[in-house]
Amino acid sequence: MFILKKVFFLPFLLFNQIILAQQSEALIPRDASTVFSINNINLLQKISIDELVEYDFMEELHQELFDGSTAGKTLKDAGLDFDQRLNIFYGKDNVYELTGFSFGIKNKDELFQVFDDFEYSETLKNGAERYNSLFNTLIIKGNSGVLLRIQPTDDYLIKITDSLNYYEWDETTYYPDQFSGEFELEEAIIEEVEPIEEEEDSALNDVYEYIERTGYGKENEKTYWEIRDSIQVSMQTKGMVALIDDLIINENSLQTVDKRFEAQLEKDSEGIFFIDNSRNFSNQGGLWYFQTMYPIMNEDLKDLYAQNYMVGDLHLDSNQVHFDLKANYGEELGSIYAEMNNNPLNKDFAKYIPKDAAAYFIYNVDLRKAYETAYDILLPMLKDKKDNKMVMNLLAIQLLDKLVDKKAFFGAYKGGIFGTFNGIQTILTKKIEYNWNDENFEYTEIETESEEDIPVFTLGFASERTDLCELVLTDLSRLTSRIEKKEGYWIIKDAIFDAAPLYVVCTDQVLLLTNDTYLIDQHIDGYGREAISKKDLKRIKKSGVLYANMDLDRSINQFPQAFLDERQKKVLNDLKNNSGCIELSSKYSELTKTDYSLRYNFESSSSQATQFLDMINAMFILSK
Amino acid sequence: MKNFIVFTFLCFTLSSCIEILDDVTFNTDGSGEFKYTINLSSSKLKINSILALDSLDGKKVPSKLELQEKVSDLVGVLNCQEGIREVLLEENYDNYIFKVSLHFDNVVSLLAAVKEIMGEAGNTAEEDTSNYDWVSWDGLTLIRQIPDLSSFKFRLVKKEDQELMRSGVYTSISRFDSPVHQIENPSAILSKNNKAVMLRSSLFDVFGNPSIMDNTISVKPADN
Repeated sequence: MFILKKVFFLPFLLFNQIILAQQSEALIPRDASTVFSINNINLLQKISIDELVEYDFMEELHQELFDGSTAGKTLKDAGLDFDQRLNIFYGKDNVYELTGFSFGIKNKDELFQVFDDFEYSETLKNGAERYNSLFNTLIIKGNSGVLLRIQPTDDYLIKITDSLNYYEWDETTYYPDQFSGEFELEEAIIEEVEPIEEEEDSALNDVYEYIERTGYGKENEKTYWEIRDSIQVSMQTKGMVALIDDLIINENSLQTVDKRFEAQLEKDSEGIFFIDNSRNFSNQGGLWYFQTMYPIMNEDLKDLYAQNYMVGDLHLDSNQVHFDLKANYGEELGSIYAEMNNNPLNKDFAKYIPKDAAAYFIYNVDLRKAYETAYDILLPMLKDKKDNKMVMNLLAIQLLDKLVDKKAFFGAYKGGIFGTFNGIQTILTKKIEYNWNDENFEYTEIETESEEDIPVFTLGFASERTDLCELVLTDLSRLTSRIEKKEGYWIIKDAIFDAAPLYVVCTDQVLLLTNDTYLIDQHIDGYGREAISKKDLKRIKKSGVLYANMDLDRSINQFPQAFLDERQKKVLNDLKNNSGCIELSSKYSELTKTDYSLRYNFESSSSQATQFLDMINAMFILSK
Repeated sequence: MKNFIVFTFLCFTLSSCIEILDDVTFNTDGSGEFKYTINLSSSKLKINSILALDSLDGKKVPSKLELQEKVSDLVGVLNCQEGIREVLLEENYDNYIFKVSLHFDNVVSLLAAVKEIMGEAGNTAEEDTSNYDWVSWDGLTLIRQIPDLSSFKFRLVKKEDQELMRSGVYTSISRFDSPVHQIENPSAILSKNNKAVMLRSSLFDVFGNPSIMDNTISVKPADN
């Protein structure tokens, strides 16, 4: 009987071992606000580690990994367990920035051949092993590991260092070289910092000036940078201890504390991602106007974002990466989005998009409807505040609401916009050449024509009052000969980089800005049969607020980067070696969510894994 | 100053056609006139588009005003050099043509001035150009190279831009009071009046191998 029990008990134990064993996803800190989790990491087996650390999502960690120990090694050689997920995470609050990745471990010896800079530090009370390197910490718990890096944000670090200087710099004995009590220092920091009121952002230039003013070279005194380094190390040490306590000892991972993330982990797609925007409020684009114009109000609107998070599934077919993305939000924000986003397509948009456009997008919103809803929702939220600035701001908003003709205002600028990138065209510009005299090689300057390539684009704005634009241009044309009215359009000479003309076309529904001479000369009333096909149009109509299509081959290398911010430029540059087509579409916004879909059909000779990682990298940069 | 270098670097990286012209007159008494022209007029659209950016390839792009200030700083430096006179600067920001001209008492002063300018332009980090004498002139024989271009870090130019650089031109002219007697560089051509020698080459080739612009020219002694 006893033997029989053992026979039954043994498989039960094995089953438990398999099902309940610690997995890599349990080692994602709860402070991570962005997580990319790759489920099917088999496809990454052949990726070299050197290649992997080149990606931006490995940037913070790569200093120590990217050395001789990784040469010629693949992930497979690194002893990773390909039955577990590879999770890349990132989190940031006002004090700390956290990066890392967790993974399964199959062979610890092989792992440390790659992570050869890590030295054993301690065994934690629950048996987990801690290893340290110069910048990073590696925790191995069971068959999983997590590489962690935590550091104070630059703003916070500067603020603290500056505030210490403010109080203590002239007291020369405060920071002797022998100083080593980092924990005491941090406590001192906190005590000193708290009374200081919020100041403007500390710029490094101010710091330089401050150091000069306070005489940093005094004997037996730490320089500003040494103090800052001490603070940084102290904060890193303390932050890491707290993180390990929370994640490893108390087992408070993102998976255990956030049911939304846990649900996402149950998906069987090749990869998933999770972005908690409520903890990444500064990255919100939805209410940019408030963030810019009324930062004080913006803080009070954080409640709106409490339920704001994005989840996505990444699927990989033979030559397609497919992202299903769901943007979730609370009902209040959702009611604004629903009003703003769910509108019929402006028909005049489609007729100005050529079917062979290298890239185009349509952002179809109605600001008037969004404004009315936002006004009704936001005003009561803000009216509770009795701050002076807030009251004045609210007063201004209410007066504007009463005095401004909203119909006329939002008729002139409805919010909808489309853009097309039509490739490159060669235009003629003037250049100076030299005319040589053979007699003595003296020379004179002569003006000749030169050919230069310029990106061709069209931007269209939904407007029912393009007559206002006509009015402005008519008056301005009386002041300068650079603005001239032509048959059906306006030309603004040398408007683009002082060299190329910009054309303005005012139709009944759209205000067009373009430098496309083909559109102006041949298709001023629309591309007709050369416009996007009915099939494409149907797809765009089905898409809700956003639709974008990009031929990577034709657009990435030619796209004018002047229009992009640094992050977007980085994404574009990172995708430069790829080819194929990217299509982004959305569904109509619901009260609590909007669904987006991004399909990337690639034709590149590089592997599926590389394509997959390229797209994850792009998402990572944009979500950071 | 770094911004200025970045600007110069960016211009060269992205330019489809740049013309550099150095034009030096050597008088028998050792004095002379130095003119240096950078003509970016055929790339002005690209330059304007670069100037519209905050940064490119992680480097800050200077504003037009910063450029103007920097160029005028350089002229100030030149004006302070011993043996250098009548420094003139012409800036054409419509066509992006920059010309500097100056008179020198002797080539030693010219060398020192150019060295100082290169130093001001922040090019001391990678190569020590302190012993780089690109010209010597004893009144009869001129041994010359072109002013050091490596200072501007042209070798950072990306591969994809190199093709574009092939259409750029470097022109070097040496003028004399007396007729030229002998020219060493077979690519050089002599003016009809026999008193000026011109060497022209693709900018790409010059950056790759500046020695192709080396020349030794001897002139006939002036009649007394």
